[in-house]
Amino acid sequence: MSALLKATDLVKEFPVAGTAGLFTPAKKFTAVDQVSFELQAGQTLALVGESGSGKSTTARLASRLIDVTSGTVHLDGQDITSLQGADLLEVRRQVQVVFQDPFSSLNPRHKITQIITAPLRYQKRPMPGGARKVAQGLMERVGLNPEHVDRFPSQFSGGQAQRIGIARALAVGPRVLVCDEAVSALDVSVQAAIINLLRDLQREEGFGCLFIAHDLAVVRQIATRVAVMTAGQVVETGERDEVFDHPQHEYTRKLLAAVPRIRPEWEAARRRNAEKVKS
Amino acid sequence: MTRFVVNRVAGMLLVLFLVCLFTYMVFFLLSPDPAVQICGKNCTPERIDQIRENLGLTDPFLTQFWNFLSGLFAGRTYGGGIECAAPCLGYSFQTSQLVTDMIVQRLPVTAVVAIGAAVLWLLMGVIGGLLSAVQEGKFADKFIAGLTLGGMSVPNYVLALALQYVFVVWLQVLPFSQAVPFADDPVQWFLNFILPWSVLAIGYAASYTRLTRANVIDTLNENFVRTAKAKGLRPDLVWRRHALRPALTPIVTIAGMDFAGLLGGALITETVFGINGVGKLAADSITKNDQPVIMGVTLLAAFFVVVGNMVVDLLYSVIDPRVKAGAPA
Amino acid sequence: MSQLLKANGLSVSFGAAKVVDEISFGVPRGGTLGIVGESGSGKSMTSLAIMGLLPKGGKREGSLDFDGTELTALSEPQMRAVRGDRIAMVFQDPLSSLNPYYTVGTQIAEAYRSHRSGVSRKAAKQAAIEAMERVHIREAGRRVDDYPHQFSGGMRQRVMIAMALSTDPELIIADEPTTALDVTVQAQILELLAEVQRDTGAALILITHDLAVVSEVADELIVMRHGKVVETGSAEQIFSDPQHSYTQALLDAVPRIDDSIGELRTTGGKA
Repeated sequence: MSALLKATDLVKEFPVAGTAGLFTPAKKFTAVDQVSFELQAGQTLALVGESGSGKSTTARLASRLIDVTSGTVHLDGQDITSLQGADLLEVRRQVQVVFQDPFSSLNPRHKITQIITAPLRYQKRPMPGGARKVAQGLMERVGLNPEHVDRFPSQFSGGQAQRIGIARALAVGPRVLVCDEAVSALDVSVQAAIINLLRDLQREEGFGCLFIAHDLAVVRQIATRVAVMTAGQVVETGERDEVFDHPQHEYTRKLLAAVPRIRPEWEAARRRNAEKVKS
Repeated sequence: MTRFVVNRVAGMLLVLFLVCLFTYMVFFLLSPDPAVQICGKNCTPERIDQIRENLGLTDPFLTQFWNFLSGLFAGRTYGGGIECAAPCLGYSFQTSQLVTDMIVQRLPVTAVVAIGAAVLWLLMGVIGGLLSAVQEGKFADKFIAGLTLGGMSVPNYVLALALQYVFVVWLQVLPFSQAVPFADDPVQWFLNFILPWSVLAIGYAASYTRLTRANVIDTLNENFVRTAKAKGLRPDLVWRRHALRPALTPIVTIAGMDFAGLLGGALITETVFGINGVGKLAADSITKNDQPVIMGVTLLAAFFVVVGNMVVDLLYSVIDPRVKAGAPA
Repeated sequence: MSQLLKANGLSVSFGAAKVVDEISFGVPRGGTLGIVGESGSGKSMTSLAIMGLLPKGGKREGSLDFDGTELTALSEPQMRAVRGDRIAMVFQDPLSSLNPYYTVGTQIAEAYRSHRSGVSRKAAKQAAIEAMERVHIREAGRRVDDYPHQFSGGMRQRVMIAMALSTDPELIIADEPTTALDVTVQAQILELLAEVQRDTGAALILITHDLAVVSEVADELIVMRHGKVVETGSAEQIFSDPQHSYTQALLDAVPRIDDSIGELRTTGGKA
């Protein structure tokens, strides 16, 4: 099986602000250093790491939101690293991004119909039955009331706004969905619902999902494979349960050990008590 | 820090050089033949040629520009043995005076106008801004907002003429301006400057009021102000240490740059009030197309702006610990 | 354990909106009370109400008995003497909670000096250095003169904690103290808070949305929703036998790192 999205030796350097002289270039900071990964269709690859690990930059490189310093990105076997113009637009259709803050990525003055169908309009694609109808269909698929397509973003809660963001991403039928900390800002009960939604949609649509997160517990729920990043490099990559249950790299072990857990003895007691109630 | 200063000074020189080059080019290309201007009424073609020769006008552009530049640093001698010591900006076509002398003579009075105005607008702006921040949403705030809107929308020259009419002609509380040296009659001297100062200051004061108000209100909503309160700090200390300093720092920056850019404002004000400063000199020389004087004044203005910018940058790195000159945090 | 702080029918309202609605709880002396809730539950407003630092327009009602003193009856100057001295607070985002224009030493010393009359500048700085040493900031004598931006996120939160404990408070209120931090740093900060408590005997109110964090730290627990307390009891009791359906749903929704349970449950019971 050839990879849907394949990144090879990605490198991204940023100039360090304030180090540029009149005739000397600024010092370079390497945010992403020789990162490679493969994402298969219908699977979820989680890039996990702490702040400054380079996981978000990696996702932006892979989705062509920013340009690489070196390395290549292949989508479906095609080299998309330096595509421009109409070709890049086609990549944009295939690769859609859902961001962390649902409200700041939705234009507050636009109605939901406009927001959700924007990618279709930009790409001048047909909307069978009109924009409103298409938007309603998408609303329904992400579990929102289709009657609400005439509302504005401020009339929705955080979790609903994130559903709108997902609906907009799905509008163009992407092959790859990039979720950049897409559930991090949400309350825990809402977060669970969004994770379930993403999983259901993936099952139906078969898109590959590049899931960027710092919350390892969330990653455990959604990932097929996991790549652990720190200081711009991938230190460990593997099947989800393999990485969580048998971490190989020192850093992965440290990361996993640090995650707060509900006390296991209390968890066990709760399960017993719940059983009792049932029986 | 040294590296930062060296970088800034190099950048500054580059900007000044470019300003020189462009101004010189504009005059070289657009100005009518200065030789004809200088020659005056009883002119013969031979005299014009002689003047061209003396001024070096027959040389190619680059040679002329080079002579001008080197004159700035080393002085120059025109054809016919006319000396011009460094920094040489040439001789006025109109009065045949040294441009450098003309500017130096008028600089003090312009400085008085500029400094007085700056003090006035900072006082008005900061006090007005603080007052409206404290009274946010109440009558005083709205009243000041109305005043600032007026102050920002009235053009300088209208304000100058209007104030002159009201205070000098109509109410007669201020005298017609007449040049009086400070030593002779300090009161008369001070009264002379009240209107020019006010006219220059009012526009700036209005925008500084708004800026101060917005900064103070923003700062009061900062988390660190909440922390200061949570420490149990007295309200006056919360204000003085944690609200005012962060709120007023950006104003220092802008004040520095605005002060440097004052010359433009001085141009109008000095003309209207008949103050014989650099601004009026510039205005006069433009109407008479006195090229060397215009060049000199332009360079001076550019010099002030560039140096002002640099001083502000350096000052800022001292005031705000996050801005460490040249090195990222 | 006797109670250091007792809230009785505490309410906070902004105009007609009641964001905290007649809640009651107790903080055991030397113990830890966890306040858990999702956004909009009123948990942060509760802490600001205790400190008497409600935003403009906020109105506080009910009773707050702090070691025999009725906080709601204190005048502003009297409350100021309590604030930062007997009750100290640690906020969520350490970067924005520290003033960028002053050294951390100045800011710690400021807390110390405003509650100890007649302390010299030098003595206050010494106290700041000691406080920084207590939160394990290395080379405290040198770093005391550094500015907040020169510290990492975790170190900044240590500075905030140093500031809080410099006056030996009886109660520390920590509002989401680790939410803005990386997970490895979070573990260190939680460890530090526990250590401070052990050493000083201070009581702690830990406000968080993170059930796993609270289960590692709290003795007593209140679960808040829409400004009301839905469940209260010992942490063990609530985690092992939650009575209210909201608490159950909340516990079900928490993603577990040690197993992937398939479909996450968003409401009570297995879906």
